[in-house]
Amino acid sequence: MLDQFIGRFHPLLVHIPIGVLIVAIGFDLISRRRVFRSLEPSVPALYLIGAVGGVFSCITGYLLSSNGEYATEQVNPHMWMGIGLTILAFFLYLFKQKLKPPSIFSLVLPLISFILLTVTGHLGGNLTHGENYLTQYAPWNLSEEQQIFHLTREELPHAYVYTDIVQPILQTKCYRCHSTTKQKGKLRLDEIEWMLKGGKSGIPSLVVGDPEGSEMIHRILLPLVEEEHMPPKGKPQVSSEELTILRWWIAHGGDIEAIVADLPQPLEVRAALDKLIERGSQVKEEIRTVANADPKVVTALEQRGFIVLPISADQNWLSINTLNVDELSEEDWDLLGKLSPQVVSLKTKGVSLSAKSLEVISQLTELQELSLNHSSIQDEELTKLKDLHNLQSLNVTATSISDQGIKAILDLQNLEKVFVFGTDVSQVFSDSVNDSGRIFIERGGYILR
Amino acid sequence: MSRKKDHIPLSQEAFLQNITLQTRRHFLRKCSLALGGMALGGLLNSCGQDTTAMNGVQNLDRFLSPKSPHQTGKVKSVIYLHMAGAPSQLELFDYKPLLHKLDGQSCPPSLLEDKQFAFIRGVPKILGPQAEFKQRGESGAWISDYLPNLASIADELCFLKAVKTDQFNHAPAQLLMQTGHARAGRPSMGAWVTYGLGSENFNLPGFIVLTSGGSNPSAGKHVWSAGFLPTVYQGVHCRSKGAPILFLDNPEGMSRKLREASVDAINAINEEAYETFGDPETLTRIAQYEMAFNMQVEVPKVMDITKEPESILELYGASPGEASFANNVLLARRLVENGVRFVQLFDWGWDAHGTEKGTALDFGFKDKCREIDRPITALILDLKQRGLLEETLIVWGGEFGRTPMAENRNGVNMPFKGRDHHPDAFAMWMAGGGLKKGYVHGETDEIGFHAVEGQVSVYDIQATILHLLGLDHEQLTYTFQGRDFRLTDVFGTVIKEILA
Repeated sequence: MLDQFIGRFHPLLVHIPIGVLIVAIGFDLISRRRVFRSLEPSVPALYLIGAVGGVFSCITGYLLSSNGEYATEQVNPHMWMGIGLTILAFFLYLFKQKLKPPSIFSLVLPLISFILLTVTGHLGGNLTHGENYLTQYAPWNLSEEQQIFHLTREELPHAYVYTDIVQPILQTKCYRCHSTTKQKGKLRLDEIEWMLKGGKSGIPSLVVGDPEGSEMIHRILLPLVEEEHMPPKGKPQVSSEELTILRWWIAHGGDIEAIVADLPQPLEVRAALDKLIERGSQVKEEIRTVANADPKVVTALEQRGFIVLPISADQNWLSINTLNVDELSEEDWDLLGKLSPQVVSLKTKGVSLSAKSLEVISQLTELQELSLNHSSIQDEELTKLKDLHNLQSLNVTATSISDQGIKAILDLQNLEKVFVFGTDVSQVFSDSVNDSGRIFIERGGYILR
Repeated sequence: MSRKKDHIPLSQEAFLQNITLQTRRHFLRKCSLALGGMALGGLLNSCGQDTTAMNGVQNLDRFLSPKSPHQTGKVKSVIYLHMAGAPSQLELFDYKPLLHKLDGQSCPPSLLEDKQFAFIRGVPKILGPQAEFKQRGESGAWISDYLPNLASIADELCFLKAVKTDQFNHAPAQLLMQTGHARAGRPSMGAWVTYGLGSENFNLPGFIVLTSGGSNPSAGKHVWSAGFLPTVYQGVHCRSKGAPILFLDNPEGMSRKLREASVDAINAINEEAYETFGDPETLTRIAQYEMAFNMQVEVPKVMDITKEPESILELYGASPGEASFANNVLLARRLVENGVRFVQLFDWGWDAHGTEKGTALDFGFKDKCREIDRPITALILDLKQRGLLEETLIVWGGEFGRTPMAENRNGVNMPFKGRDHHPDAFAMWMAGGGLKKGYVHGETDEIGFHAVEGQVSVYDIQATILHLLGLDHEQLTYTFQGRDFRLTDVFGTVIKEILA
């Protein structure tokens, strides 16, 4: 215990040799110039102070490393270089004070000390904060989101629960302190056997089949103010979806081999998985920006009664609503077509669609949401939508669409929901589509008793 | 609307009338006062500024122009179903089997000390739940048999079971829930939302209020007022029986064309008045006249539920021509479908004290539940089938909850079963876009007295509603009386746990 108490002064004491030796080396080198000759007498003393500070740093450092929380292959280079630096500092003190070394050494030795100092210091930083601490938020690194969950909805049923879903969670939230390079509390969470073993406390992090009894879950659930809450305050926290997934995996055996389709999926688990998939794909989406739409086109449309609005104050993606326009003319559609790079949502109601209208709509390739309810749209005309690869939701309620028309758009990769209440789409057809995949056809027609 | 030339004689007349009011006496008095006033105004830097202009609300054309939210919102409209009087959560959503066991026993003193009750005096007795509870749907949410239809769609709902307020009487509690302050004078939620987002239909108000149950809520019209916001954001109270909006129609013999000409004339004079006096309410008045003119055609069209097919009327249990909650709910769907931003329904009569049969938990209250059960379920299903559910937020709740103890007004046991007001823990639910479906947030103790987990305040709910619309509740402010006001006052955090 005492060794740990004293050992923890290492990060504190280490500032002395670093600061003092940098000044020592600096003064040593620049005092070679006549202008700064006056600094020379201070150099030996500085080396001595730095060396003495180094001794105490080495002692406390050694005590700190003895707690076993740091991997030896990481600690050793840092330790030996630190010891080497201290010894070198002593030598430099002696050289400058008493012996007069050959002039080549008087330049080389301080430079070597400087290199040793920076490398030792950097390795020490890595030990404390992790290897990517300096570069994580570097400007050239910023596009790389922390997102390593990469499954798509199609891949989900066959994905391994542990490797593809649980491990990414543990990796982003836990491994920084509990894996190969660092084991805080003597705990590793990067493999099942370590999770079953637990850490210093002896309590297993993972108890198969019992999420509430697993220390990992218990610590996540503790209030943030509790010291034992994990991840620690100030570090990225486990989200509620991630917690649901962890509990789900543990409850069903904590199995490495299981795939998603093997395990029963209650509603909240499905929602959590959906959320993770969405977030994984959304990262790419959210980064997408688009240039501002031509303000003249927007104003012209607004004067006709169109609602043309950015989806939020800080984005240029547009949502368009024709609610207040009685009749859409050919010019209106032309203007709309000019906004095709920006339009992500188009809501019309009760419009009669001409060939021109459909042509323009087919060019709105950024469209995610399209509402043509109460319109004149026909089955054959729906084929025009087949280039709308970003389309997620289509509303054709109260139109004369039937199964035929819907068939034409089933290939759209991002399509998720189709609303067909009040159309001729049959129960049989929509059931078959709903059972087979990602697209959901909402037929409505609910009856209450 | 074009500005026709025939109103010039009218404005000239108004001008002449004005100047005859200015006598020599007025002139002399004004000179001295005005010079001093100008000096003071200059010192205070307030000359030529009015709160509306200061807040950037100066669009003569359309106050209610739709605007982008601060961040991408999940929903575009809100339907708020407020059960005025406070429905009993213990008979609807918060199942407490322990209350069955303790039924009839005296309430332990620890629960009574330091507590101020509205009507309970002395030591009341615990009252067991009067309804049968079951877990519903895949989510296993507890819903009683008083709401069988709603129970069938339990998986669409997101429950908040530990809501807390600090007001135990109706009017202040309703004001707190709707305006963020227990005293009258602040803008209501609908006003804030339309101030922040405008409204999509140019011919309908952005904030519409529908009442049922026979009476306005206890807090009266304050709960849909615009407070200090320009009055254009005030809730427009519509009726489901008779003329939808009073005094909207033209009087006998006045054609629409004539109405248009007179509105033009009035507005031209008003615009000149605004330029002279700078009163922001003039702008509101201009906007209201224009809106009213447009509404004359649009409102009867939208509010006419006879246009709905029989199957839909059957689904809601609506009967055209009556003043009923079901009609109001169907109207709410039609309004939202036509671009109205905020529709608020107030249903009166939920105050189940048990003083008489009409307010008894097993009689009057049960009837009220039956009355709302079908329409609310129909609303959610109807929005769902029209593809509107994901962009609409439905909120259901009262202004506080009811006590686990039976009410004993003035210390006397009452003939009917009822509960007193209980601000410490009650239940609300939300449905629609941006929310986790089939989710329960918050939990109360075994007798439903205190919250033990996931407690949320009224401000948290307001912040969450604004968040779902894409509005940051801390950024949606209005400067008034020297400081920035907002719906959530200085409180409220978004309830992230219920967000999908």
